[in-house]
Amino acid sequence: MDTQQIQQIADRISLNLKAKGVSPDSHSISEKLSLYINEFGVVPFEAERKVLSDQYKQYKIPEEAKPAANQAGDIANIADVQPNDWVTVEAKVVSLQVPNSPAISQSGILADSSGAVRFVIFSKATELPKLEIEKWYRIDSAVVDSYKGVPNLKLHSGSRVTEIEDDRCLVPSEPTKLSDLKPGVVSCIRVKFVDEWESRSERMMQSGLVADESGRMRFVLWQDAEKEKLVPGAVYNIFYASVDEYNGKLSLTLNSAVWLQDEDIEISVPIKSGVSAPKEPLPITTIRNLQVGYASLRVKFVEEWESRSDRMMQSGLVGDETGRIKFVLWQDESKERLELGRVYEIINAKVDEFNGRLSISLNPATYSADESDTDIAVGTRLDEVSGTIVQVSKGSGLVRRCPVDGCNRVLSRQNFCPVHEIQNNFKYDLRIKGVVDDGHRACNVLMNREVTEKLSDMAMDQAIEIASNSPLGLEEIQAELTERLCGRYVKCLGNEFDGRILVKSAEFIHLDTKITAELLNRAGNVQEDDRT
Amino acid sequence: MSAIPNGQFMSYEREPAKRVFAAELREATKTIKDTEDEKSPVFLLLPTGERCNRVLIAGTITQKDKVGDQNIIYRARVSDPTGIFFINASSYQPEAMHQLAKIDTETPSFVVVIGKPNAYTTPEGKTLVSVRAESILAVNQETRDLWIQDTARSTLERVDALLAETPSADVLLARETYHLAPGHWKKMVYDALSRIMPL
Repeated sequence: MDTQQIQQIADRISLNLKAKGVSPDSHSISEKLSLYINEFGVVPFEAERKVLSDQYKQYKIPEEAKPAANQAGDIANIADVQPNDWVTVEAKVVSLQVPNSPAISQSGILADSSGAVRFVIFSKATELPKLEIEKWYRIDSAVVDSYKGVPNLKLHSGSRVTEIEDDRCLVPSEPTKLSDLKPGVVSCIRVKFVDEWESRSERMMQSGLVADESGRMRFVLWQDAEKEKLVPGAVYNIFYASVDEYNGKLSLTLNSAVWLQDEDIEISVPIKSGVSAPKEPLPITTIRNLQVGYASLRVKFVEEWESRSDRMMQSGLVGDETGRIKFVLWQDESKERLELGRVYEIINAKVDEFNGRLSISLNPATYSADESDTDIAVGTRLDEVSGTIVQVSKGSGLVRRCPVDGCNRVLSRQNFCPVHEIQNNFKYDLRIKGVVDDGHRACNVLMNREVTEKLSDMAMDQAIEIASNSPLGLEEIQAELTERLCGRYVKCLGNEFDGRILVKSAEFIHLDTKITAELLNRAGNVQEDDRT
Repeated sequence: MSAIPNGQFMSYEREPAKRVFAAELREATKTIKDTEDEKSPVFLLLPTGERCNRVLIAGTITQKDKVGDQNIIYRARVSDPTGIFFINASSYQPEAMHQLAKIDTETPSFVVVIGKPNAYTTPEGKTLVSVRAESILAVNQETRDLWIQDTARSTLERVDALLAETPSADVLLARETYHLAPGHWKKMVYDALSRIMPL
C-alpha cells in the first residue's frame, strides 16, 4: 500500500480521536499502520481497527465509545445477496423495463462489479426517487425477495436511496460460461450466435441458439424498437441478460441486455463433451503420478496372475521405479499377450479406479516391448512428501529404548519393556512421530535421530540436558520440537511402510520467488482460463 | 476416505488441513454431514467447491482476549492479506491454549494455526466462521510467505476444479450454494500474492 492510502486511513483515525477530544500523533499512527499493512500483511480494515483500538487504550478512551462496525464492510456484493437478506449495495442501474403492472413503479437490473440482480420498486413506496439508467446509487436496507427461486431486490419505503456522484466505472466481471449459468441475471457472457430459428410469434423479434466452449443455450429477444437483431455467426459479449428456467431448462432473454460484437475472438464450439480417448500419444508418466483417465507408461511386467474369466486375456502387475500397478487385457484378437520380465512402452492405456485403487486397461493402448532391454529397478524410488508439519505426536522427542540385543523397544515411564520388563540400563534415542500434510493428504512420518537432530537443530545430548533440567522431563522435548517444527514446510524422502513414511532425509522448503511469479501469472490470467 | 468393506473397521485417516484465505473462509456457510450418525464429521463446504474439516492458516496475530472465569476461552484475531480469521481455544484444546497464552500481541508477529473450522449462524441469520485451534505457533516471515504461495496454489486448483466440465458432487453443491464467480477468487489470490512479491 502506498503512503497516500496509508495517510487516508491515518487521517480517519486522527479525526476519530479528535472527536474524542485528544490530539493524536498522526506520524506514529501512519508508522503503525504501515508496519501492520506493509510488513505484516494485515488486511487494511483490520489494521485500522487494531491501531484505533491501541490508540483508545493509550488515551484511556472507554471501549464503548468505539465505533460499531466497519462501514465499508457492510456493503454487500450483489453476487452474494441471498433471499431474505437485508442488504446495502452500491450499484449501477444497467437496465430499466416497462413495468407490467400499475402496482410497480419501476423495475430493471442493478449491477456492481460482482454481478447483477433484478430490482423492483412498488408504486406505494412514494418516498423513493425514480432511479435513472446508467447512474450509480447507494441503496441502504433493501430486502432480497425470491421470485421463482431467483433473488430479486425489493426497494421499499424503509429503504434509503442515495445517488453516488462520482462517476465510477463498472468493471464487468469476466464472462460466465454457459454451463455455469443459473436463473437470474448474468453480468457477462461471450457467445457465438450459432443457429437462428424462425419466429413463431409476432411478439418475438429473434430467437435461436448461442454457444461458447462449454455448451449451447436457447435465447429469445422480444419485440423492442430500441433493440437490433443479432447477426448469425458473429461473436458477442452480452451484458445483463436474464436467465430463465422453464421445465428445468435454461434460456436467455436479451431484452434487459446490451451487447457488443467482438470481432477479435473466434469461439470453438464443442461438438460433444465427456472424457474420450486422447488422439495424440500422451507423454510417458510414472505409476506414482497416475490419475483416472489415460496415460502412457514405461514399465516392466513383473507378475502374472491366473485369469479368472474367459473374457480376460491376461492380467497381473507391471512396475516402474515408483511402484507397481495392476493391469488387465480383455480378449481381443488384435492384441498380443505380454511376456513376463520384459520392459514395455505402453501408450494411452486407460486408467480406472475401483475401490480407491487404480488399475490400467491395455485394450485401448498400443504397446511394444522395449528392444534395448534396459532393465527397470521396480519400486526402488523413495516416496516423497512435501508439506507442513501439522503435528508432532505423543511419543516424539526423547525416548528410552530397551538395551537387550535385538529388542530396541521403547520403554514406558517406569523403564518397563513389554518383553524384557524393567531395564534401567536403557539407551536414549531421539525421534519424531508426526504428520506432514500437503493439503490433500495427511501423511504419518517417522523421523529417526539423525533427521530429527538436523531439522530441530537440537542434538540428542542437548535434549537430554534440557529434559533433565525441566520439571516436565521428557515431555519438555516434545513441546520443544513442536515449537521448533510445527507449522514449518518440509520435504521428506523415505519408504512408506504400513501407512507411515520412514523418513531417510528431510529438509526445510525455502521460498522461491519464481514460484510466486508463476502463480501470479496463473491468477492474473482470468481470460485465458475461461476460454479453455 | 475409502469405503467400508462389509462392516470391517475402517482404518482411521486423518483429514488433511485445507489451505484457505480468510476472504474465502468467511464466505463459507454450507455444512455437510455424510450420515445422520452423531459421530460422523461435519464438513464446511468452501465456496471454491471443496469440503474441509481441518484448515491450515497463517497470518499476523492482531488481538488476543481471555474470556470467562471458570471455563477459560482464548479468542484471537489473525489477519492475512485478504481478511481476518477468528480463532478460539478452550480448555478442551489445552495445547493450543498454552501456545496461544505464550504469544505476545503487543507487537505484531506471524503465526500458523491448525484447527477445525466452525460455522455459527446468529439469530439474525448471519453465518460466522471461526477456527477452533489445535495448534497455534509463532513462525517466521518465510513460513508465512510459503503459506501464501501454498494457499494460492491450492485455491487456484480448486477454482480449476470449480470450472471443470465433469464436476464433483461438492463442486455442484458449491455452484448451487455460492454465487461468487471464479474470477473473484482468482483476484483474491492475485492480491494476496502481490503482497509477498518484491517490487
